[in-house]
Amino acid sequence: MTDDHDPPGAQGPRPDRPPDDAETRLSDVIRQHASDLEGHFARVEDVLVTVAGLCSAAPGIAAEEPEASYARLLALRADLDLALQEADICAQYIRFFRKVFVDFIGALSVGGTGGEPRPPHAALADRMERMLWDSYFMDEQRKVFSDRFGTPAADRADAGAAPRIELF
Amino acid sequence: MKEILIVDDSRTMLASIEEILSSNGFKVASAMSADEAMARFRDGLRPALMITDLNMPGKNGIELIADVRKLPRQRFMPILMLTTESKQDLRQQAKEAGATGWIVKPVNETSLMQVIEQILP
Repeated sequence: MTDDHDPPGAQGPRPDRPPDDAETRLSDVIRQHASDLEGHFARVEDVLVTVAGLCSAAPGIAAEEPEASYARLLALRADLDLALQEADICAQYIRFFRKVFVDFIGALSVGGTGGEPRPPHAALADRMERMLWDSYFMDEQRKVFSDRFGTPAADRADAGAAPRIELF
Repeated sequence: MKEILIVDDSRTMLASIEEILSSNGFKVASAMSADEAMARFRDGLRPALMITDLNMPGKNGIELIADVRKLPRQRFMPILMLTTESKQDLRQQAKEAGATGWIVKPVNETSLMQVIEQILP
């Protein structure tokens, strides 16, 4: 998987979750990434609020204590470095979610437009599960998931079927 | 920059594949029917690869491939069929019409790019 598919810091499914259906398994991963993104964004917000507060107070502080004001600004650099790292992480998460949305739009548009029958809900859910499995689950997540739930239904259904990709 | 023509009657499918191809450094042209694709060729489009849906209003993907193969400049252009169909007889028809490969939807970015890397020198 590429960096875009691997938001940093993601930890895999919560170990205390009971086995559930495919929908729950998928929402586990998405919700966890969304929650992680929220945490990173909150840290960026903290630094921005500090910067904003310092900027608004800066003229008064600088007039009375120019050296102290400069020292406080310098002290903020470490926080800004950290905020920059957190912002980069947020950007990776956003790219990850954007990719998921684009691929899901593609999966949902399969069939029904050119005479092909629209797949039933279960088949569509299998396709989306396969897409997440193939593209977005990290190795450790795959291991945990297959240990607990087995391989995706779409993989089992494909056993013995014609190959999905064939070059002539 | 290599150009790839995508033919699909679904706007969302076109958008999805365009996103994958353009983010991997390809120039993308698109058409929503076999007729539109043929018009693009007549207008001088010379893609390195064509990816086409099978079931479309009007001519289907296999008929499009047969028409494209009659164009002298497109005789050797790789053509991939990207479809929900997986029946062997349809694959055989596509192969006989001149398709280079068959991909069952949905396809993820990694798999699609692996196939393209194999067929585009």
